[in-house]
Amino acid sequence: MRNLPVRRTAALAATLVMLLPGPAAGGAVSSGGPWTYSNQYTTCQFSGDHGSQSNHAFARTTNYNGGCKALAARLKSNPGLFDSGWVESGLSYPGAIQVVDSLAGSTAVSSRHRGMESWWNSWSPVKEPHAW
Amino acid sequence: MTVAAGNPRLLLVGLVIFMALIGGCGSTVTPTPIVFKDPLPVDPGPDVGGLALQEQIFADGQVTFDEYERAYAAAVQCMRDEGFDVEGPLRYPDGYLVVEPGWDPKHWLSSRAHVGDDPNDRYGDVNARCQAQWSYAVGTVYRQQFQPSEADVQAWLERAWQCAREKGLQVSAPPTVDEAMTAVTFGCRPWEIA
Repeated sequence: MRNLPVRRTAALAATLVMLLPGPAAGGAVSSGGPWTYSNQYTTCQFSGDHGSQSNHAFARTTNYNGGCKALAARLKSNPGLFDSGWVESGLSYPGAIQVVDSLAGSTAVSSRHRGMESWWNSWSPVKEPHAW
Repeated sequence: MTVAAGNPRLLLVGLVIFMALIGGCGSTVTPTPIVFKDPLPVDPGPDVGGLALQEQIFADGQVTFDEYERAYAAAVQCMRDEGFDVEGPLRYPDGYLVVEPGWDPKHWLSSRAHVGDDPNDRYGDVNARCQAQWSYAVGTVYRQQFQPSEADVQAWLERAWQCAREKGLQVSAPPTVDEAMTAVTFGCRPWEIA
């Protein structure tokens, strides 16, 4: 019984720590894929995520199998339902392309994603983790 | 940047760009309020199409940021002509931050369209068409001069992962590209570190 106050204090502290938002607790992220876009020569697998982290909305397309020549992402965010339009990776071999809304307090509504296969350089159909 | 005519890789890029432009729309553009630092050799005026504008921009074998911004402004105007409320061109750090390992986001312009709830996603079609007609080729060639090496990309990722660790974010072993990108959303700026 002598340790009870200590235990209570420890339990209270643990509860407070659990309630505090940690650096990794950046909000819900919706993920989709991997989606496969292939022909007889190459296979491009890519995945897509969107969400809000550190008070900013983002959308990200990732080269899942390393077989995509290019990637594209598009973000729809609130407040106001704004659309970034398509944002495409540069000319280097990309690992991912990400678009972040610079507006503080923005939240992601939905995202769209595409990958380019490396043989004909054609874009995949548009994919989305949730309905646009 | 010099567009070397003898470089097969550049010629291939040019061919792809030309094919993309063939599918572009044929609408005209009106002058934008943007003031450009470097005027074109001969201003194409408001009534020429995207190919003419790009011929002007590519004429001296160089693409400057100013020319990229001019082409992007034409794309934005194209979207406005289609009835959309579009802000832009927006320079980093305004608008959207475009992040790719190894790259500096300042080489991307962005635009922000107020689209509302459009179930038909007409803006997606207009955005793609206007970019193809006016700004895609110029932006691609402009950014080519900043293409990072594999070492540059790796160094960029290492800085992002280190910053992630310092912020207490999860970094697995081996670390992933997604973790580096997440670090950026939490405020890491691996392109700014010398």
